[in-house]
Formats: sequence, structure tokens, C-alpha cells
Amino acid sequence: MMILRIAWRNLWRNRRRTQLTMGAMIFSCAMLVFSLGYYDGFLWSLINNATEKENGHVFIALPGYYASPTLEDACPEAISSQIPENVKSEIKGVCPRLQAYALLSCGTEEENRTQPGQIIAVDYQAELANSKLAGDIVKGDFLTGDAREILLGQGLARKIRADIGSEIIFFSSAADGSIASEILLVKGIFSSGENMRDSSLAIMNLKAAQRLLALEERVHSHRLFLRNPMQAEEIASRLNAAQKSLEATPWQSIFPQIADILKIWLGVQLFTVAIYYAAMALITFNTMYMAFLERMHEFAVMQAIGLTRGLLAMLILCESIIMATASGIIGTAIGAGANVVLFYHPIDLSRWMESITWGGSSIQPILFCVPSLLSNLLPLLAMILLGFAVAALPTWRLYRLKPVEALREG
Amino acid sequence: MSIVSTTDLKRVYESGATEVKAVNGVSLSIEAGEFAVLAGPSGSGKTTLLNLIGGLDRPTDGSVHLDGELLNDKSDDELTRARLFKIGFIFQAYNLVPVLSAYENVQFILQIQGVPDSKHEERIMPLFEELGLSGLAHRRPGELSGGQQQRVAVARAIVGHPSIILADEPTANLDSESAVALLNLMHRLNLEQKVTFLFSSHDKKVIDIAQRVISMRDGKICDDHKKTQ
Repeated sequence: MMILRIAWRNLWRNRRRTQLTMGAMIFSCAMLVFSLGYYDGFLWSLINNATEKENGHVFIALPGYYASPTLEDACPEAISSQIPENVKSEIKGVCPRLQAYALLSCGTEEENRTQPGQIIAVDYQAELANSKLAGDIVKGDFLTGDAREILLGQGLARKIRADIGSEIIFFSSAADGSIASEILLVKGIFSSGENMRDSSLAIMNLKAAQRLLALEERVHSHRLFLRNPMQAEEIASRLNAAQKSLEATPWQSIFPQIADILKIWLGVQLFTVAIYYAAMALITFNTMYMAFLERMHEFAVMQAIGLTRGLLAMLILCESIIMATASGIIGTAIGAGANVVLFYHPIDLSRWMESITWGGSSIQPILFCVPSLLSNLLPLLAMILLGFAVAALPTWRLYRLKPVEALREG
Repeated sequence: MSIVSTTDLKRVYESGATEVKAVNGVSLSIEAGEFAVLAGPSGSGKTTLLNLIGGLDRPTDGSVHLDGELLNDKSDDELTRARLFKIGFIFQAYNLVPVLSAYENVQFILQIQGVPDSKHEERIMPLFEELGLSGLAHRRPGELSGGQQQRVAVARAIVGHPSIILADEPTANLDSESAVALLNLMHRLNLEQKVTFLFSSHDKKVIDIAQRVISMRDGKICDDHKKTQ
């Protein structure tokens, strides 16, 4: 107890030096926690952007459909009975979809503007609950379930000069070989940030599309949204093992580049921690070692009056650990606080930067962080380890200290 | 009964190509209850001999026995333990732990000796009373005068009930009045509590009050006499 008391008071003997060192340690730790939170946020956005608009975390369809989709390869709309119980508990939501191609026309007979487009038919309630489709609406509104409503990509709307309320003639062939045609009304215009997608995609209600395409109670795919997207591979394996009539594909197989980044992620985090703390170690070590050298005589006196080298080493270690732990806790609190704020209130930087498409996903210009246990604990634990590390040399010197020489020099 | 005994004790320092014989064949015995001083000019080997007796330094040759135990064979940590339980040190520059109060400096010894916390106050406060430190218990060394700091150092040295107190030039940094007061205090402890003291000093006041004067020159004892009371 006395050792702790001495250690604590020693830290404040040179108040300004301790404050400066701790300030540097706190800043470093806070920046590291923030950086890791930002990297996690970046990765999280990448995964979400890749999965939540398109294929979900696990894509379920008839075997072979994902690799080569056809209009006729539709599966039942109700698949609940084919999902094992140990998978159901991991599912946050399911979005059934139909996918087809159609000609979309807008305008009068004199000025007809027609474009081929990809049609995605969705259960609007499931999408609102699970996906980010509704968030892309830039004009008008998202689907409400009306059979005649359609959403157009911004580029597609521009091509056929359609606007909110415009009539769109939908023309396609149904699964039974009949002609599928309907007049639809533009309910909203969306922009996903991907020009290719926005210039050819239209979204309509599932029930209307099932009727038009003669696919009642059938869909082309079910997109599972999981509580933990990182479990997608395991969930897909369980689903494939439980039945053979459907094929489950995890997002990692659909976006292998993003999956590859994840595999090296922990290594990247550790490397980042190492770089940050290597510089920090030098600053802290300098302080600790200076403080040690200044007190050689004092240590010799303590040895003379009966304090063993083990207890003296503990004193040095306590000083270092107190400084590192206190700095680590304060730094982590600041960094984690910033992460939490940016998790709930991301900063939109689109005024200055544009989104980038990469690896099948898009990188949005948003300052967004995810506060995770690992990104908080890793810097804190590393800071405490740093405390041990910087005490190592003074401790070693202490073990070689000859009290009589230090007393004479003092 | 002999508390400390040395036999043909030598300590040689290498200084470049030359050898300095700081202590050169000292045989000495200090009995329990003695109030002795190692006297002699600077460089005569007083402090080196005190350091060897206190286990702070190791002899080049010869032996040191403390309470009948040979110190030569002990490891560094064993020597530290011996100092903790058997020797009290008083230094010229007081050498109190600056971040601890007067009371805590003394308590520190009891803590590392493993004396239960409940016993600390009853061991320390009478001592503070005796040494005139009662009102200064919570002051840090920086807030005390030299004489007061040295009295705290005396309290620290004797609180653990050591076999002997080794005091290296304890009055050298004190003014004359404080030095006399401190010496009288230590003499009273010697007379009343039978605390054994061994000083190293060339201060006439210390030599005058000591019961035994061991004079050193060039690392050797040149005179050793006890005064008649």
C-alpha cells in the first residue's frame, strides 16, 4: 500500500512533466480508439452498402440461380419451413425479391421514350424494415404497396424524361410465355450513388410483379439479413446442410474482395496499434527513464534502509502502470465517446467528396465510426502493456544498481 | 556481547592503474549498548568501513559478522533484509523519502518489516514524542528544517528495533545548535534504551560525546580507546 502511495505521489513530483506525458498518452490512445472505430465504420459501411441494397447477408435461391439467373427459376415465397430453428434465431429479417427485365416507356405516341431496364420487385414492408433501399429516394416517396407504383433510378428517369407521377408503360414477357404489360405511375426517384445501377434500375411492388410475370407466390430470391453479418458463412453452411432444394450463398462469396479485407483486418488493427504506440513508447520511456535517473540516489537510500530490489522494481512498475492505465482509460473514454457520437450522428462529407465504387460495393463520403469492444480494449490493453514495457529498462538498471556507488554519487 | 565484528577487513578500489586501499586490514568489535565513533580525516576510510559493516558494500578481503552472522556470504537481497531488521541508517543528508510525511517515512520501515498496521501508531507516536516531532508528523521533509529532518531520520532508524544504528556524518549538515541537540538526543536513546550507535564523523562534538573513539588513518585503525565515564 505504501509502495502505491509513494508511486502515486512520485508521479506528481514533477507535475508538468507528468501532465505532458500523460497528455501525449491520452491523445495517442484517444486517436487510436477513434481510428480503429473509424476503420471499423468504414468496413461496416462497405459491407452494409454491398449487402443491404442488393443481396442481403445470405442470398437464397434455387440451386444455380445466383450464377445464372433466369425468369423461370423461381422458388416458393414461403420458405420458413426450410429454415432450421438454430438459423431462425440469427435472422433479423427476410426480403423476398423478383428480378426481371422489361422495356419501360414514358411519353406520348408522338414522343415515345423507351429504355430497357432491370426490374426488382420487392416486399416494401420487408425492405423498409431491413434494407437501405428507401434511404436512396431523392425525389417523391418509397413504395406504399399500391400495385401501380414504380420507382426509377435517377439516370433511368432522366433517360426517359420521367418525373414523379409520370405514367410508365411496363412491357415484358411473363414466366408462362405470355405478354406482361401494365401502366405504372412513378412514385419516387432514387439515387444509390452508382451511376450504372441508377441508369437502368426500376423497383416495383412484389405482388404486382408476381401477377404481371405469372409468378404468383413465387420469388427469385430471399435475402436474409442477419443479426451479425460476420456469421453469414456459417449460417449459409447450416442452411445448405439442412436442405437441398435451395442454395444459400453468403455475402463473402458474392463480394470476395471485401471478405479478403476482413481476413487481414485484425492484423491491420494490430499493426496500427504498433505504429501508434511505438512513438508513444519512446515518449513515455524518456519520461520514466529520466525520472529514474534523477532518483538513483533515492533508490539507493531505500535499498540501504531495507527495501528489496523487488519492492523497488514494483515501485517503478506501479508508477509506469498508473500513468499508462490512467491515460489509457481517459484516452479510451474520449476515443470511444467520439465513436459513439459518430455512430449515431455520422458526418456527411458529400459536399467535398464523391462516393467511390469498389469491390462490388460503394464507399460513401461519410465520417462514420463503429464503437466495438475490440477497438476500445485493444488500445487500452496495449497502453497497459506499454506501461510494463517502459518500466523494463529502469527495472533492469535498478537490479544492477550498487547502492554504495549511488549513495556516493548522490 | 558483540553486535558487529570485523576481521582483517579490506576494501580496495581500482582507480585506473592504481589501487586505493580504502580499508586496509581492520579488525574491530562493537559491543551491545556502545556509543562509538569512527573518527578521522576525510579519506581515512570511515564511511567505507561503515558501508562494509552495513552490508552496503562488499569487502575485497576479510569478514564482517553482524549479530553473529557472516555478511560476506549473503546475497544482495539477504543483505537488504539484514539491513531492514538489524541496522538503522542515519545519513549526512537525511535522505528521507520526499513524497512521504515525517510519520509515513517512519511508518514505511514498519510496513516493509511486516509489522501489523494496528501497531504502527503505538510504535511511532511515543518515538515522535521523545524526539520532539509530535507536531510535525504530517509535514513532508521539504517543510522541515535540517535538524527536524535528521530527527525524523533517527526515528526511522530506531523504529524497527535494529541491533545497531550506523550514522554517517549525521551532524555535518546541521548548525551547531541543532547538532548538539541531535547528539544529546541520540546519547539519551543510548543511555535509556540501550540503542547501540556507531558514528563516522570528524566533528569534535561527536567525538566529545562518544564513549569510544576509533581513530582511522589511511584505511587503518590507528587508535581505539574507550572513555571513562
